[in-house]
Amino acid sequence: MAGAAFSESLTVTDREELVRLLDGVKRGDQAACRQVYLTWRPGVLRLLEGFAQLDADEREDLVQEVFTRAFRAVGNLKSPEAFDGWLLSIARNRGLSALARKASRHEVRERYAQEQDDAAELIPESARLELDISMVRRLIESLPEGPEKETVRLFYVEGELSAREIAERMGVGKSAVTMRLERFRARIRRQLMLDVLKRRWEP
Amino acid sequence: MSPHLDAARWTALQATRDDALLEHLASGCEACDAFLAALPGADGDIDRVLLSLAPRAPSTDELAWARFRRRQQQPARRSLVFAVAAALGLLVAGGLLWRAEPQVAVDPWTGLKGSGQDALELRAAVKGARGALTPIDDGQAVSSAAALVFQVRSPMAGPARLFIQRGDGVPVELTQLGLVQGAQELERGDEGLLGFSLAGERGPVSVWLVAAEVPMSVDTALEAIKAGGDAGVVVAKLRVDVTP
Ligand SMILES: [Zn+2]
Repeated sequence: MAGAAFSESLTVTDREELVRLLDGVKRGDQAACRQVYLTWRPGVLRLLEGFAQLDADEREDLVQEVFTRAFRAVGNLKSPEAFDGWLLSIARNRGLSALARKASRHEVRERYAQEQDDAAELIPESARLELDISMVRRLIESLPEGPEKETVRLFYVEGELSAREIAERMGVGKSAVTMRLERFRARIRRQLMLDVLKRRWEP
Repeated sequence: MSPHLDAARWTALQATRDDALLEHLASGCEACDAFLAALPGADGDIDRVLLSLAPRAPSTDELAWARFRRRQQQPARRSLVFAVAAALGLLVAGGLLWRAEPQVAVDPWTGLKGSGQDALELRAAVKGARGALTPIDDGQAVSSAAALVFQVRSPMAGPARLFIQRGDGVPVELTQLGLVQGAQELERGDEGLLGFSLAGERGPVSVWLVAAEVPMSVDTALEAIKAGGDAGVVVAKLRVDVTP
């Protein structure tokens, strides 16, 4: 099995398994498609649960859409190791598009401007290597106690409640929770960039 | 000068150390965070790491898989092919975008509902630097430096929604418009012709126009796109292939 979905890293054995599975998907082999679908479905669904504005039916529709798209485009994947992140970026973009459809026109344009399915990669490869679970944990630790930290803890660390359920529990609007999660992701990005740039100039 | 990150500063920062800017970034400036958030790449990797904080076991939801398979096995909706030659031949004199010579329809208008006078038709032209308009064919390759303007022939007056779709992605709404019956250029209020810049686009891009006699929701319009039209809703599409 190709490891637990979204585990921190894939071992060599897992990599071989992943290559075999993705080759199967490219050939349209249903057993391989089924295994990939069932393995990654929970992570894709979880990502979409971070968009509090989407209800369960909408998330379910999007999951199907994400895999349809991914299976069709898997031939474009540069390396098997990139599969996790690639699949999740499809899911995030589909989620954002769905939010855009629900939002006002003004917001639609803004989102539209930020859609980035096929855009060039402006973030250096080295940045991705810096990104690991301990960096993210440190960042969560360093957040001041407050609603953002609590939201991040509930959604990412405990990983049980959907963003919509978190909004209900905390008694705030749905978009507030989505925004807190987005803000935290922005912090990770910033930290990533700072780490990379600093390292580059260190003697 | 604004202290915030922009594309030029970002590129410069990769090459040259700039402590002031780094310090500014580390302070958690919202404008700079927003710039970084809009940079392509890394999104999937950030999600991958975040989700691994509470890893999930593979799903055992065979029903979901069965639903997915069923959906995959549905035959792709065949594009409707219409003989639009006659309709195009009749198009308004003086229309900027319409080619005078009728075109033989080899699936140029997927999703057309009805034909002839009942059909909604959408054409585009590329706007040149001096404002000259060059009509383009459906599926034509167009430079990303170009901007598209649109002409429409609508079977009725009513509200419309214009969508853009990259590749097989979900169509995203660009704007809402009011159409009159007959031929017209798409305009944005008093601002003149509605233009759509292709900057930043790449590959196949489809433009969808959905029109109805009464106001419709975005969801209704998207449904109509999926279904190739719906009761009281007509759909037209054109495609371009954006090259660098
Ligand atoms: Zn700033």
